[in-house]
Amino acid sequence: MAIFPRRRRSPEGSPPDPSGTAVGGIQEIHHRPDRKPPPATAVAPPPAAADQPPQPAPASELVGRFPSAAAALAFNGELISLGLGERATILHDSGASTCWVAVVVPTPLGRELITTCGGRGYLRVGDRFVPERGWGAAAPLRPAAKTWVGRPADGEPVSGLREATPRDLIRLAGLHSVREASPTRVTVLSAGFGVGPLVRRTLELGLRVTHRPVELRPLFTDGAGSTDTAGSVLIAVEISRPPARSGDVTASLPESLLRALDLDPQLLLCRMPGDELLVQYGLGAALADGQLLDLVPPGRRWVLADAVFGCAVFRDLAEPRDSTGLVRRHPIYEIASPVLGGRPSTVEPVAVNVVADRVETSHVDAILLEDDDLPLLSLLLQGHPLAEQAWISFGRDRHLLFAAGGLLQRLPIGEPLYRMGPGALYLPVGYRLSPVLPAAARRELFEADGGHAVILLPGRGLAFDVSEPSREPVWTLWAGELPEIDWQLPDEAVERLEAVEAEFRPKPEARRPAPRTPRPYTPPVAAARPAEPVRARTWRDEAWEHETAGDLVAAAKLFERHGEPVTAAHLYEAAARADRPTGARR
Amino acid sequence: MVDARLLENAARCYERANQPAEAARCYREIGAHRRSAELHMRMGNLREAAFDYAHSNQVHLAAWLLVHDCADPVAARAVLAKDAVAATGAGPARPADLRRLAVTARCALAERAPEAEVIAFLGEICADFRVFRPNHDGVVETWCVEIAEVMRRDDQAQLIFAAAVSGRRRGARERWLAWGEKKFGMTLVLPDEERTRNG
Repeated sequence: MAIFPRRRRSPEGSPPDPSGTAVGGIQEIHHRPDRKPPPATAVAPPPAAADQPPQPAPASELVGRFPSAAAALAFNGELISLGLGERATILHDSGASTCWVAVVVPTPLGRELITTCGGRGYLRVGDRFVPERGWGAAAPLRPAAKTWVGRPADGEPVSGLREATPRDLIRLAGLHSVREASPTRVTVLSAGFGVGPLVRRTLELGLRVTHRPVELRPLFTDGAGSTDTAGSVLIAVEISRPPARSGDVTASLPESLLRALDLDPQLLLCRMPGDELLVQYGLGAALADGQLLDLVPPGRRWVLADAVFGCAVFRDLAEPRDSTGLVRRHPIYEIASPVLGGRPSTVEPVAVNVVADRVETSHVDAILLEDDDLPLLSLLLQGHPLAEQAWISFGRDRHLLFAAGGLLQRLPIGEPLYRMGPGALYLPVGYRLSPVLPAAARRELFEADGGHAVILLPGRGLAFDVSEPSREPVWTLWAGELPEIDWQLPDEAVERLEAVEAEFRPKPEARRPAPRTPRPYTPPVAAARPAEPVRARTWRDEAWEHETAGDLVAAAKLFERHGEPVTAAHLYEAAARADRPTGARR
Repeated sequence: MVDARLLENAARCYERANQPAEAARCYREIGAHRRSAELHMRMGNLREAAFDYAHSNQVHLAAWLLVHDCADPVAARAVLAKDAVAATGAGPARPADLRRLAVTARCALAERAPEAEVIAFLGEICADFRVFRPNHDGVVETWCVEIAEVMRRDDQAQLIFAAAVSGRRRGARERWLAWGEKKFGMTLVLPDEERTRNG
């Protein structure tokens, strides 16, 4: 049904202008049975009476002018569906990118189909295509007039057009996006290196996979995909779902798999309208799949894809094979003869190392210092509470600042360490052992006890002698020579002391003690330790012994009793988490 | 697996050392959420306190903190949804039901619901206040008065106090007078107790 306003018809029986020169006059031209181009002045036959049975619609040769190849292809698809596809003549104007499709078709039907596909109706008049008027019988919009000088001829010349085929239209039109239901089988074209992962992924989903090598040649190079040029070889992997047990109903393939394969730039995922035609997944031509299949010449097989892959003619180089054998077998499934009496396979030990941890521990138990840090340390700690609590143990070029219960404070020098335990086993803050070792293994492997502190760094380890007297109060760093002290004893006491001393020594020399000087560092060799008197033990020494012996609760109680609740809490918390393999709070 | 007893010792020591954040962390780890919540309340970490209250079966208090102090009605309603025993509507109202009503009213107020809707909630609570109960929940009265103050509806606050006095809630008359002193700077002239009780 025409939706355009029709012009008022001329009175019935009124003869057309015989001269045919009336430019503005609209003449109705009725059915012409012949396929010849209508003459410029068509004579309308008398109209049929209203009471007569309906006559078949008059057919005439209509020419559709389409602005694009896709529109022309869509019109061609309509003609194919009407069984008129073979009678259509396709012409292409390469200069204007327009396409013309001429076909003998019932005029009203032809007009509607042409406008449906975005074209405009024309008629062939001589060697020109002239616009069709669009109503009544097929007739030119303007009757042929005498051409006078200066007036351009109506319509388009036929001579400038080149005849084309529907396949040419497919090439010119390209493909457009389509949304369709998940297919039941697809074919993936891939290079050889991509087949293995693809097959493994597909098999994991319980799908059936076959593959075959195919040779591809360009479809549009020489017009028919000739086989005399060398083609490229790809592997065609066909994926389908095995038929359900209950019946023959085959479920569609998983949408997620299809999307993933479609997004892989190294694969071409194709749906299969038929065995002879593969169309890139998600794309379609202006023709229906069945009509496309009819366009494929017998014995040929086409691949239609976007410009990235291109369209190709392909042929199988081998029969499809089941792809299960392409999946790489895991080594544990290797078939081998059993070795009788042999040792079973064992886990290869991994070298123990210190690696960066994901979470940094929040507390600092000790600090690893270098020689250059010692002057700064003495400046930092003078007046600091740590001056009373911390000990320092000197090494060759590295020194360890530590305290019973931990320092629990960060200093702007040195490398902060946390006590991983058991004993005095320290790691840098933010690092952990790899592989994870339980406390018993750490105790046996590193032997960090109350006498030795072991510091594990990435790639190496350090050991310090932290026993008495090698560990010294940190204040010995800056406490130098003492002033001379004069003992203010009464004369009687001095005389009595001299008398007592005279009994044991003939020549008493010094009555005052020698000035105190910091003890120099001595190497941790028990035989080389000087026999000088050990400084007085404090409760901190006792807490340190408890701590390095693993009795953190006893150490905590000592700190709690002596008014240091933070350290006590730290030790309680460490004791509560002693079973953890990392041995530290996260 | 941590030793809860030792971790509790650690938390106690942290409290002694005036490190409430560390103590709360230890308490929360051993499941002592109420103590952790109290510490967070003391530190002003109301959202953390609400988390702990929600885990110590005090969902109404947690929801109230979230909506009233943190201005987060969405989180409050999410916490309130975890309340397993909701009001059934039949029988005498339990303290939990009244708390739930009060929190819901506060959520509606925070969500800019029509004032009439909030007042309807308060009216429902006032109706319960007028019934004498030996063990009443003083928290709901405080919450309702705070809701009325947020609405700038002193009349609603006074209605709540009047209902509490009518229901012979202990100390309600003194709280009403103290509120009036604080609010208006003057001593309110209240009707005698018998008249208030009889409506």
